[in-house]
Amino acid sequence: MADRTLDFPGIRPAPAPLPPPSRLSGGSPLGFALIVAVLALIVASLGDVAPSPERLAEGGPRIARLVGRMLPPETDPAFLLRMFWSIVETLQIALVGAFFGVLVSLPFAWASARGVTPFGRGAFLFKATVSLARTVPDLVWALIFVSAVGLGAVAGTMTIAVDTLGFCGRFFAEAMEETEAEPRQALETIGANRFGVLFGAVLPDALPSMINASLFALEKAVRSSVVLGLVGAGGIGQELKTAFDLFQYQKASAIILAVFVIVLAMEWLTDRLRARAR
Amino acid sequence: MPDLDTLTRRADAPAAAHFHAAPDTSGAACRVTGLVVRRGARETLRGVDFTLGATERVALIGPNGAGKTTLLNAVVGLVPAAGGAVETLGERLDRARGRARARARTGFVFQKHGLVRRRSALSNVVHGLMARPGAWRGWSAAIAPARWREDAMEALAEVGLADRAGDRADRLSGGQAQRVAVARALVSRPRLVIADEPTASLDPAAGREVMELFSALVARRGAALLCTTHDMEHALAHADRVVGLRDGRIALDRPAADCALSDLEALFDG
Repeated sequence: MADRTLDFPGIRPAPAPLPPPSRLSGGSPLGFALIVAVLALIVASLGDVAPSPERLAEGGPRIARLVGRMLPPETDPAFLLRMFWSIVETLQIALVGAFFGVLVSLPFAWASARGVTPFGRGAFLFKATVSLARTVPDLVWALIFVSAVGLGAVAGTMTIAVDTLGFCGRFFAEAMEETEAEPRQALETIGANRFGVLFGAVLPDALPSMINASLFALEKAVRSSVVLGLVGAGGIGQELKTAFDLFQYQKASAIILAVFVIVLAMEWLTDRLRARAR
Repeated sequence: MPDLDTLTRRADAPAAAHFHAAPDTSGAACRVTGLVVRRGARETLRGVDFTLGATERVALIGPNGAGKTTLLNAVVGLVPAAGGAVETLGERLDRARGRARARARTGFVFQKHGLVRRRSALSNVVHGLMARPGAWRGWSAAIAPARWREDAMEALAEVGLADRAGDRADRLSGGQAQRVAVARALVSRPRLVIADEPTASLDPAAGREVMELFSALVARRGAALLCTTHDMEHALAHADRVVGLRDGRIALDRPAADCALSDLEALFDG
């Protein structure tokens, strides 16, 4: 190496190489202690809540017996017709709830997105509202709305709307925060007001991510709306609960199969739509 | 890509009747007095005095960190003054209403074009009209009034891109995107045009072409131009006056005709 530099007058030989940094230089003692603490917590919890081999051995035959009683799935036309209308109601709950949830998410996301919000430090109020909608589980929202507006699909729709606000409110805000700063700055300099910047620069840039999040929200809404019936918030879940309560396992298996097909179809559909939105 | 003669011929052709008004010769486009700007504890501008004539073209040069972009931003009120005063197009920028009025008559071209990628070239140019009454009609070309769309098409024709009006901005080359940005800055017929290294992200040929076109269009409109550049040849070729900044202060202020390339390069030494 030194010999080679002699061929190029004016280029000094490279200094002696330094030793590489320590392999553990990236981690801090606090981080290491945290990892150890989490692993210890998992090991300690295993004894309390994980199923023991004996319990697994006892449960296995019971599951096999239950599956046996579920087969074949119910095919009575009157039951299938009732199930069909319940599925329609489930999809309506998911669609209308997700629609209103997405609609309400837009202003919340705008008001809470860092660098975009017109509310400055007040943005945390909107962020906190979205966090509340997200952190309370959908079944708890369903119980609240069933208490407020009574049993049925309306409570389910309200639950899905709030659940979607929690999901889309956050992802829309992140999509807005990630938009390019230059077009926003360009429009501000031109004299565009906040709405001009939002509709002219922020939304067009964030739209693909927002469509993506909305489709995930719809997929999630379909899955959620299936189980909301378990607490009386309408849809196919109510039929499922009745079937289990009355030990009608063949009907239950027909419903589970139908739910499986619906969720699969919805995933296929939203995948296609996402691919088109790219 | 069309040559400059073609571009300027296109620029001449449709627009003669619309070219604004005679240049404002009644007063300065911009007056900066004792301007101090702080970023944290550091002073990026330290008592700058500077006047830009109503139809004057000034090249602002200086090493990185000298305060060129800060001065441009201060001229449109994007950064607050910690001391001194800025008056742009007769408006005091320490008042929100004055800032809005000044910005409405100012065109800005950035180093990176700053176009909205997923919008058409036409929509991006229509954005330049958002300071007009009924601003929301400028959110997109789809909802813009016919007159706005015609103005935007005319501006695109001036930069030689009328045939790409419907193309999304992210389908354009760097040079084309910067020409659309020039059209966006000029569509509102501003009295002051500010450009922050408008050719820095382009290859030399595209940079030369964009700069020549830009300079010709600004001169034709009789607007004032304040443009930062690291290209000394551009500074001498397209400016009436060269102002050099170093360490937040004006270190050179001379007519371009009296400057030699070596004078400008000396600003970057040491």
